[in-house]
Amino acid sequence: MDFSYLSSSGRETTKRKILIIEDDSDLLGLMKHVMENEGYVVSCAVNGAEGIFRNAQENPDLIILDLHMPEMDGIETLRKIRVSDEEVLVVILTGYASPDTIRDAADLNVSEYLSKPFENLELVSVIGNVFKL
Amino acid sequence: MKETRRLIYVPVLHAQEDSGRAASNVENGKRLKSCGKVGADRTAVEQMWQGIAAKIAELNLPWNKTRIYQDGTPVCGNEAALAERLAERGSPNYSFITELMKKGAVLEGTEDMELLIREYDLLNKLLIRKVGSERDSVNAEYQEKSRDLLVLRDKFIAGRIAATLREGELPIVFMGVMHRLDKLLEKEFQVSYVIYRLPFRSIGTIYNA
Repeated sequence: MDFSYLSSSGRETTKRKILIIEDDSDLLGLMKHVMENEGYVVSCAVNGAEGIFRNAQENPDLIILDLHMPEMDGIETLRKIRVSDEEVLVVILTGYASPDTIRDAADLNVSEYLSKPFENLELVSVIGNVFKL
Repeated sequence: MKETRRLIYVPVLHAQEDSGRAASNVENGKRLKSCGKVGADRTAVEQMWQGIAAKIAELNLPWNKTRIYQDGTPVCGNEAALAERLAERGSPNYSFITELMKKGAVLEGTEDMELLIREYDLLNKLLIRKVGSERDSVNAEYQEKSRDLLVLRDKFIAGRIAATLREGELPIVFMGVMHRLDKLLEKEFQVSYVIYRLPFRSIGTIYNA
């Protein structure tokens, strides 16, 4: 079956699944809206534990992952995800960028590491590029 | 009480054009076999450097008092000429460096030539020996063997910064993400990081991970 259709930007896109793991509810809602406008199927998790669960249940194509979350941070969340899922693409977002987290991200096969703040179009472009490769 | 000096640290991903002659000659041969990805690599690299340039521009640095330390630039006496040559060859990293030099910044020889040659020899031996499906194991072997070399390189670079930085100057350091030089520098400097976007998947060269 053909699931392709035009996104709001006029570009043809397939129904790829994205999981957003972000504890900031405002940012989470905004990113969900932006990604759904681009034609992606989006699910959300507000903390690391939920993110691990949803990844296992929903098998997304890509995870947008915030690093700075209470209880279980993004790196720890991704470590646990990678134990059973080496394939899922991951884009990291962080307002607390540091060389340590960059090195951790590199070791965990992250596709993109993006520092906040960023424009919506930038995020759309980054996600689109990751899927193209 | 001695005032802690400021330092700007910019973690970067290396593109093939940023590397020295030996490594790039080997990579050129392999790149010709995967031309489809070259365009995407180039765009991601350019976007990364455009983002870095924009963030650095916001800092309004005193360029005539800024000393640049650059990953892969040997102490050789003709660092500026080397940078210009690599910029002409298409290195976005060195293109940006030469722009800063035009504004008044000085590029300082950063790395020990001997250690850099050992790095390139290691890379070439591994890249020549294995291709295609064995690439993951090649990468892992390279990472293991280059780890000790990275420690030596970082120690040299930290010493080089201490030895060459003049009173009143601001150092700006461009370093591949796998270096741990930041750990050494944090002991002596107040380090500010310029981090924007690191497109690991797009720039999938062996130099970065």
